[in-house]
Amino acid sequence: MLEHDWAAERRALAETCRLSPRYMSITEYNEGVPRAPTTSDVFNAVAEADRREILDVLNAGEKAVGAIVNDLSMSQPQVSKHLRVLREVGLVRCRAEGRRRLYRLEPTRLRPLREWLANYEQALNDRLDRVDDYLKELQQQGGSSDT
Amino acid sequence: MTPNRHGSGVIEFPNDLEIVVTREFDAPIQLVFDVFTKPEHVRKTFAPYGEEVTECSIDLRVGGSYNIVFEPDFMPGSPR
Repeated sequence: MLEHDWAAERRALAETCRLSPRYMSITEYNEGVPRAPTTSDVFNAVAEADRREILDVLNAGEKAVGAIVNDLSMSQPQVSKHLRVLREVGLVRCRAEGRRRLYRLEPTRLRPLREWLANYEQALNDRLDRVDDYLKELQQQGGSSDT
Repeated sequence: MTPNRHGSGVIEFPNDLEIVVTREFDAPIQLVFDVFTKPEHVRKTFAPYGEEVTECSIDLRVGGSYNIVFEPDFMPGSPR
């Protein structure tokens, strides 16, 4: 893991504050650093419903293009086009077996999606941690609002 | 994922309008409810880095609204 660049985060956050002085999302506030814009990343790849269906099919195991076409109501050119995008971002891998090309899922490449989601869960859990601390504090004080 | 100090909340989306978060607190249930719903408590825990909450109003009725405002204490130009 790279060491977190707090200075860069502060600068990004200050810029966000300058552009929108009052309102920003909690993940923006906590993270400050947006993901690098790329034309073909994992996020774009799974944004397309047909490509998610292909991933779902491959989640069951390695398959040839023909088998994917059979499982889904898509034409072979469509499936091939989507497979190319999925391969470019590394979500599927391809190997040749005789004349057939077999495709399989590379689930580790889903990681950016998971990490992005985790930001939201982390912001929520941080808040719940603060509530936990505050509840302890209140109870140590004798809890005047305790009933 | 970063570990949490007191265990993770479990987040579920039972339908389009609801988010259910399950988490245990070692405190009387009425106190926990107050801390999540009364402005005097919410303003103590809402802001992520201990910033001052400048506005906090909660209308705890179905269809009611809430408004919570806090500002970062490291706005451009502030010494830090």
